[in-house]
Amino acid sequence: MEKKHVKWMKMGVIAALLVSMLAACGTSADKGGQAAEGTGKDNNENKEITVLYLDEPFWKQQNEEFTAATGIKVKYETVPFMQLHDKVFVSFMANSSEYDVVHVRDDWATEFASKGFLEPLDSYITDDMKTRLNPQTMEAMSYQGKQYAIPRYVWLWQFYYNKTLIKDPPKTWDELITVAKEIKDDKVSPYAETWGGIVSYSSFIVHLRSNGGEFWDYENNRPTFNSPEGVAALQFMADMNLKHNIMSPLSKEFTSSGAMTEVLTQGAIAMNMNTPQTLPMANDEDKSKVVGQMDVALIPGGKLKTASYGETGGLAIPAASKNKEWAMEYIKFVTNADQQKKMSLANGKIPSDVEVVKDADLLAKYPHYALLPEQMQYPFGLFRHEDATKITDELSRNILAAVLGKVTPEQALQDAETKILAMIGQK
Amino acid sequence: MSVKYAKKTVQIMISIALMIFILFPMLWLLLSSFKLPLDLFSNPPELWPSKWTFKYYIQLLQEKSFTSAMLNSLIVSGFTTAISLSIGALGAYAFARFQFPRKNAFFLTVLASQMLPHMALLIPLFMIMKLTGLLYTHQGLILTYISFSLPYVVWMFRSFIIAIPYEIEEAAKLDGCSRMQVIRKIVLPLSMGGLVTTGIFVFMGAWNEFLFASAMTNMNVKTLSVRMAEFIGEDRIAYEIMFPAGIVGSLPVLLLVLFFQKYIVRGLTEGGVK
Repeated sequence: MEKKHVKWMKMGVIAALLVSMLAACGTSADKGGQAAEGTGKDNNENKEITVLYLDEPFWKQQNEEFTAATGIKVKYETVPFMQLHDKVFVSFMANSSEYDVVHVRDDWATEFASKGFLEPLDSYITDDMKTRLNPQTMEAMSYQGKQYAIPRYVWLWQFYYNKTLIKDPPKTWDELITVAKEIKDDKVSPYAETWGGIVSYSSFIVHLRSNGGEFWDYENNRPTFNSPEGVAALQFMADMNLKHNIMSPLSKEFTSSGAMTEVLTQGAIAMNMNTPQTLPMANDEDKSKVVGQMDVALIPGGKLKTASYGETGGLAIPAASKNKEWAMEYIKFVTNADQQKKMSLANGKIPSDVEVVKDADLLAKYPHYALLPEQMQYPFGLFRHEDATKITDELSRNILAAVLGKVTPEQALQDAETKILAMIGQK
Repeated sequence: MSVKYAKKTVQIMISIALMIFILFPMLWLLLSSFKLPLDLFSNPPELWPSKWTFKYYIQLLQEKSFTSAMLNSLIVSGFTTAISLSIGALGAYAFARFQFPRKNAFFLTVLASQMLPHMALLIPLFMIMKLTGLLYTHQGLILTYISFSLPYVVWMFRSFIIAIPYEIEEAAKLDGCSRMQVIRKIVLPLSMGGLVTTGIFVFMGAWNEFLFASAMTNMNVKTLSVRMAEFIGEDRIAYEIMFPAGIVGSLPVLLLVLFFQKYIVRGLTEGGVK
């Protein structure tokens, strides 16, 4: 018994010592950081900015290139993508000045800008930027007429189809039904969309745009999806599933384009709208059973020749940042044409620079880029609103009910509109 | 005899069915960790890999960010457990044995702190850690986790102490033991099973915690749960890495349970007076 006590006491002493050591390490590290920050303002060699984004090799390499070119050091913090928004949000709410550059997408830019968390960048924007960068991506990064972030890539949907099953890809949605019915392979679902969870609004927005409709009246802050074009779009989606029976039964389960790609690469889907990862994954022998079988086309159209959906990824400077000038230098560097090309070669992200998209090296590596200049001339942006998530969640639930035949398209859109108007305090 | 045999057979079959139900997800995780991505999404799903591969284990263990996240998790979970048990055991003893004004109200207050949704505490705690210079440090995360686990330890351990007959403690006092000696020589050894079981739950809670770890850690103190979430990328989920990471990440907890198995069994059976 006595020995046990001694052992416990020893363990306690060791634990206390280790805690003290840890505390000492933490304190010294903090002081080191403060010292570097303090001298950084006086000495150009010690300039440092903190950037928050993902743990992927290219972004780290890009930071090194920036430091080599400018002398400004980059403290790079990484975070899981699904936590990116929340991590930044918590930091903003605590009025923290720890980050100098943060990644935003269309709806986050609107949300953060509306709360005053971001620095307006209009005074930094050059004419060169205005001409080089796709106007839809610039629009995606703005709020109430002010620019709050600079776009660097687009994650755009294109139309992917199995060329061993389909000779000519459909040019219109009506043609898609005809083409789908000609596929006689029992193991292959002719077509799929992401309708699961709370993401069905993204497919709906493409059909709505194809019909010539729009999702939101930004000037009057009102939904416009409950229109003849919207009802027709949702009726078409429901018909694809219930009347024509061409949809993959997994459509109602897909909560992301990635999940759909995983089924597509098993050869179980003939056609879908999907993100730029689709073709590289489909042609990866480790991941795919349809190597060399997939091809790309413009997304089918209706009143509009085509329309799409895709997020713009951009860089913003928090209003609380103490290093705004250096942060802007960083943003200019990583959004320049050369860096956008390197980014795209490394990870397949579509450059926001309209000329870089046409680059010969990129076209050689990514055949699906050939159609991008035309696809990007048509609408593709995400819905932007301070309450975008709540609004699209509500709409998606109603859309899913309609495509499964639980309610009529008219009823689904009417219900969604009523609830969303109440949500934003309008009648 | 035959009825008894049939009963036994049914019992065994139910046990096997339960075991399969509990172990099958773990078996799936284990086998999937040796699969190529192509096999992971085969339709219909296949249990066995068509080709066994260790390359994702090798890739994972060569990743410095993963091994350092493992170490960070060990530090944070280890200290959280040790400190929570040390302080919590004494607190639990006080609530079990001492009589003081408003004891029940204090005890309810300790329990009530557990009723607050953790999400509501995220921003206040973030600000406190920032103000105290503990943000993005091991200590900050350890303190945060202790604040959550301490009420649990007090509540759990109090019930173990109450189960020990007070007469034993009185006998020890008559033999000349001080209060601390009673705790060390009588209470802790007799409730070791409970202490270890509670400790394992605290360790697991800290090991798996994600919300606060994702907000209050940076590159230097990133824990395993946050690192693992990074395999869910913007473009796709790297399942081929996530499965081996799931296996490697569950090893410490598994080893801990195996190492303290005899105490856990004791914890479930102790409490009787001889």
